Amino acid sequence: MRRALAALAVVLAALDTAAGQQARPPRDARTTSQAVQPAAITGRVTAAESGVPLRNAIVSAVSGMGFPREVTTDDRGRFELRGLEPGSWQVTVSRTGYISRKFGQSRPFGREQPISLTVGQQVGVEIPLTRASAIVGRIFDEYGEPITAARVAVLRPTMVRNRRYLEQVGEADSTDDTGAFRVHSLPAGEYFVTASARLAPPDSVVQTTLAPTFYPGTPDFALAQKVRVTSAAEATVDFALLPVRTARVSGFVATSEGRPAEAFLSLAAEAGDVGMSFGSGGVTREDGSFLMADIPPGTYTLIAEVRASPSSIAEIGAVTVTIAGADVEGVSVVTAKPGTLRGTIAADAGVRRPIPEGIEIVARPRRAGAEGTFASVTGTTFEMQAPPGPFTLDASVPDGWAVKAVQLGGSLDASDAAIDIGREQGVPVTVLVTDRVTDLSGTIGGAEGPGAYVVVFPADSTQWTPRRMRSAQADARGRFRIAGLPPGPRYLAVAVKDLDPGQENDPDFLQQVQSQAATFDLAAEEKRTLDLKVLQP
Amino acid sequence: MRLCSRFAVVLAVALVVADGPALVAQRQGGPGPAQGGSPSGGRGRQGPPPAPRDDDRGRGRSPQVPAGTAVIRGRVVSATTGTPVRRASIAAVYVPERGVEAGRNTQTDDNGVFEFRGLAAGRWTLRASKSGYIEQQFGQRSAFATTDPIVLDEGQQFVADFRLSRGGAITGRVVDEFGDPLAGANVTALRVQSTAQGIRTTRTGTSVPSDDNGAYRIYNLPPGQYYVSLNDPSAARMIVISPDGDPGSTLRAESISISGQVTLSNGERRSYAPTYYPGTVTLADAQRITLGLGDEQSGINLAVVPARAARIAGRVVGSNGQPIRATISLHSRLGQAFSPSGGRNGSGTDGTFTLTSVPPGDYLLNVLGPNVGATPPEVASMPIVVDGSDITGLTIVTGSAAAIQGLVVSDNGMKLPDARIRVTAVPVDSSLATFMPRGDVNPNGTFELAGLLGVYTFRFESLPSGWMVKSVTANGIDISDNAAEFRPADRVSMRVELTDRVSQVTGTVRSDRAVKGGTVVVFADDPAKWTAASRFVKTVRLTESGQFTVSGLPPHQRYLAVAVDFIEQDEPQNPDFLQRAKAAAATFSLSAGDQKVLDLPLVVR
Repeated sequence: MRRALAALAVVLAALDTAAGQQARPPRDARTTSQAVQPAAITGRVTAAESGVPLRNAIVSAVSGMGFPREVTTDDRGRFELRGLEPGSWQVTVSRTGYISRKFGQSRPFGREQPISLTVGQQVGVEIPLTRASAIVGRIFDEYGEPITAARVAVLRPTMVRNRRYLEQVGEADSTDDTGAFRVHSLPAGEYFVTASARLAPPDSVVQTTLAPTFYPGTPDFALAQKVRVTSAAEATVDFALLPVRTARVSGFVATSEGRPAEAFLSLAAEAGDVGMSFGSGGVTREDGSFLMADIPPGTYTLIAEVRASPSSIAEIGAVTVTIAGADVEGVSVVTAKPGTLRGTIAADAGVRRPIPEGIEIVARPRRAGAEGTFASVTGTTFEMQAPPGPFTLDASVPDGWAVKAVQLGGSLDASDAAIDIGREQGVPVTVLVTDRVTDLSGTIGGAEGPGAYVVVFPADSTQWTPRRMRSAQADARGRFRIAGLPPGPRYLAVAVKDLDPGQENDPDFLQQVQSQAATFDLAAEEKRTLDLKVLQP
Repeated sequence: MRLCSRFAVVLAVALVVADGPALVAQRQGGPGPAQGGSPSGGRGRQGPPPAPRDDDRGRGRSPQVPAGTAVIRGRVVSATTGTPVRRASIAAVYVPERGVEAGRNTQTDDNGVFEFRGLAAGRWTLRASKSGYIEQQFGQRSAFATTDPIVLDEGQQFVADFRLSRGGAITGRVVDEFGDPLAGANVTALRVQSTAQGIRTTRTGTSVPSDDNGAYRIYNLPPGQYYVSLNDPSAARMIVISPDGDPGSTLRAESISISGQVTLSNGERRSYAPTYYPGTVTLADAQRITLGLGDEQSGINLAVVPARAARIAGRVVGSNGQPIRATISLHSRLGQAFSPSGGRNGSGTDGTFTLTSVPPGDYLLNVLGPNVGATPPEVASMPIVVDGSDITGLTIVTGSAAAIQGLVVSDNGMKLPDARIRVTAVPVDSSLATFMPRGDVNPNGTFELAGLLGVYTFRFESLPSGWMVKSVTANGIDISDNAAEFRPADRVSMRVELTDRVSQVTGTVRSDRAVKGGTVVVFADDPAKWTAASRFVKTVRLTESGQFTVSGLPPHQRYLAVAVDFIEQDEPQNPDFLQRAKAAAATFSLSAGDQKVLDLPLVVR
C-alpha cells in the first residue's frame, strides 16, 4: 500500500519545448509575434491497486491564467488537456468510487504539486487513483426514532495557524426518511463524525433543537471517538442526537452618538479546543433592536458592525453572551469607532543596516474563523483598525531579518501573547527587528533526502508558538535552510518524508516525533549546521 | 408583444450566430478566472456565516400577530401507527379579511401535544409538518385538497388533532452508459399535473444527489404521479470567463437551435443530457410512477444519456452598439419548469463572455445590463438548445425592456368612482423574472409599467366597489383571459375597461348530510376558455350554512356549476377534472350584470 502511494504521481515524460514546437505545423505568419503557444497536459488515469485504466474520470485543470478546463478520460483512461496557456497548472482527478487526487499529492491531504508549462510544452502524466471508503449509518433521536434531514459531516483535525481546526472531508450528507446517511469518497483513515438537525422555525414558541453531536453521542469534542475506516471499505456508525433547548438573544445596538444603529451582527462561539464553532448572523431592525434565534447553549462573542461601505467599518462593538438554555434579553451593545493601533518598527541595538522595505504586520483575532487585519505601513510607522477582542500581532520580514520582539508600551513583550486593544488603547506598539539572525542549515541524507521536510520546534511545549515552530523542504540535493529562529535553548529537529500543511504546528505530531529528534541550542546570531536522516515510521 | 395562451416561451432576442472554430488559440489576459456563483457553494463551510441575510430582519414573534384570549391545542399522531409525532412544527397563521397574514410557530412535545395561547378571535389556518411526513393543513383530506380556515371566537378552546401520513419514497440507482455507478447526479421527482396547457410538472419532495453506488432515495412524496429525472449538477457551477471573444458575423434570428453529433474524443468533458426514467431525454417517452399514500417504489434505475459538455461564448452589445458589462444567467429547463439553478455571472468590460462545461439541455440565456443613472437596465433573453456542440461567436444585443402605457376606463363612458387602483404584472414563470412591475393608476385613469421581459398576466386590485374588469387589451389584442409575452423594446398600449354591471351567481348547496366545507366550481363549457388566467373558471368555498356567491363572471351563453365535498388545489385548472365535472353540473347562461340563483346538489367524491 505504501509503495503504491509513494508512486502515485509520476511524470512519465516531459517533451522539451523544441520537440513540441517541431511537431507543430508551420505557423501562420500573421500570428507569429504575439500569439501564445498553447501547451498541453496529456496522460492516463489508472486504478492504483490494479493498474487498470479508468474511464469516465474527470480531470480538471486550473491556473492563474486562462479559464479552468475539464475533460473526461476515454475507454483507455486517457485524457488530453490541450490549448493550455503556459504557466502553473493544478490538476485534479476525480471519479465515482475513488479518492479525488490532486497532481503531486503523495498521500491524501498531502501537498499538491502544480505542473509548470512553458510555451508549447507537452507534459505526460499518469495519475493512479485509490479506491475510496465510506462512512454510513443512521441517526436517531433520543427515543430511537430516525431523524430525517439531519446533516452529517465527516471531519479530520488539522492545524491552521497554530490552531487545531476540524476540516470537513468529502461532502456532508443529509439523512433520508429512514435516518440513513452515507458520506463517501473518503480516504482510509480515522475521522470524527458529527450530525446536527434543525427542527423548528427560529421563531417557534417552543424551541428544541438537536445539538451538533459527535459520534458516539456527545456534544463535547473531548469525548468524541474517532471512526476508523479502512481502504475501499465501509464503516458503520449509528448514534443518537441530543436535544437541547436553544435560546433567543435579543437586545439593542446604539451608536457612539446614542442613536439606534443599523448594524450587522455576528454571533461566534468562543473557540474551545477545536476551531470549529457555531455561528449565526443577523441585522438590527430600524429601531436598533435585534433578535437572534435558535442559539444553542454556550459562550459567544456578539459583534455589531456599523458599516460605512460594504468593506469598511464605521463603528464596531462587541459583548460576551452566555447562553444556558433560557432566552437572553436586553443585551445592549454600544458601538464605537474601531480602536486604532499605532506603532513603530524599530531596529534592535547593534543593527547597522536601514530597516528594510516590505515588512507586513497582521493582527490575527483569536476568535475562530476571524480574518486577519493588515496594517498600513509607512516607512517605519504603521497603523491599523484593531479588531475587537484579543488578537496576536504577526510581523513578516524579508529574508535575512527577524522579529526580535513585539513590545507593548516599550516593556511588555507581546511577541507570542495576545493583545486586547480594548484594554491597551493608546499604548504604543513597537515591532523590534534585527538583521543579526540565527541561521540553521544542513542536509537531509539518503535517497529520501531530496524533497523531504525538516521541522524545528522547542523541546519545551509551552514555547510552541508559530515563531518558534518552523519547517522547510529540502531541495533536490537534500539541503535545507531556516533563518531567523529566535535564539533559545533546546530546540528539536526532525526530518520527515511527508508533511501535511500545518502539521508542523500540530502538538500530536510533535509529541509523536520528539523522542527521535535531534537536540541543539541556538545562540543569538548563531550559524549552525545540522545533518538529519528521514524518520522511518 | 405577442399573445401567449400556451406558455411556450419563445422569448425574443436579437442575436446571432456564427459557429466559429471550436478551439482557437486563446487570447487570454487580464484577471484570473472568475468563479461562477454556485447556489450550492458554501455547503460544508465552517465558521461563522459571513453575511447576514435580509430575511433575518424582523424575525421572531411578530408584533403584527394579533393577540386575544382563544387557545388552540391538539395532538399530532402518526396516521399509520397512532404513536405521537414528536417535535413536529406547527404553524398558526392569522388570516385577516384585509391585510397581511401573520403567524406563530411552535413544536409538539414528547407526547405529540402542542398549544397556542392568547390567539385573537378570527380566522386561522393551522399546519403541521415534520420531515418524513406529508405536511397537512388542519381539516385537509389529502395533501393537495383545499380547506377552510378555523374560525375562533374570543376565549374559545379549540382542539385540533392531526394524523400525519408518512411521505412516499422513490429509490433506485443511476449508472453511466457502461453500467458503472454514477455519483453526484441530481435526481428529482416531478409531480405530474394536467392543466389546460397540457402536462405541468412540479418539483416535489427532496432532490438528492446519487451516492458512490449510484443509489438515491427521494422521499417526502405525497401520493400522485411522478416522473423521475436527473441532470448534471455541473450546470450549477458553470463558470463565466472573460474576456474571451471571437465575435463572428452577426445575423439576427428569433431563436437558435444548435445540433451536432455527439462524438466524444479525449480532450473533452463528458456530460449527460437531462434524463427521465426509464432512460429517455424526452418527457413524452418518460414513464410515470404512481405512488399511493406512504408508498415506496424501488428499482427506479436510470442510465444517463452521455453527451459532451459544451462551451458557449460570445459578447454582449448594448442597443447603442457599444459592448457592455452585463450579468448573464443561464436557466436550464426541466420538463416545462425552469430550474432555478444556473450559472450566473457577467461579461467583461469588453462585453465578452464564456460559459464552460454546459451540459446538454434547453436553456434560456438572460442578460441584464448595468444600471445607468435612472434608466432601467437593458435586457436580452435568448433560448439556447445545447446538445454537445460548442456555441461560439454569439452576439447578444440588449435593448430596453418592454414598457406599458395604460388607461383604465369605464365601459359606459362615465367617469369611474374614485379609487386607488393598483396594477401588477405577474410573471408566469417566477424563476425567470427578477422583477414584478407594479404601478398605481392615476386619478385620470392612466398608468405606466416598465421593465417587463417575458410572459405576464395582469392583476388589478383595489377596484372601485361594485366594479370589475370587463376587458383588457394590449395593442388592440384582447388579453383578458391570456398571458402576454413582452420582448425587449416593446412599447405596449394597454386599455382596461371596467364595468359596474357585475354578474352575480348565488346559491345554496343541498345535501342529505350536514354540509361542511364544500367547494363550488363554475366554468364555461368551452374548453378553449379553460386557460390559466381565465375569468371563465371560478372556484369558491361554501359558507358554513352551505351558501355561495360567485361574482364577476363575464357574460357567456353556457356556464356549468358543480358543488363537490372536496377538491384539490390544482383541479380547477385540470381539463380532465372539468370534463368529468360536466356530467354532474347544472347549466345556466349569463348576460352582463345578471343576478342568478342556483340550487346545487352536493357531489360526494
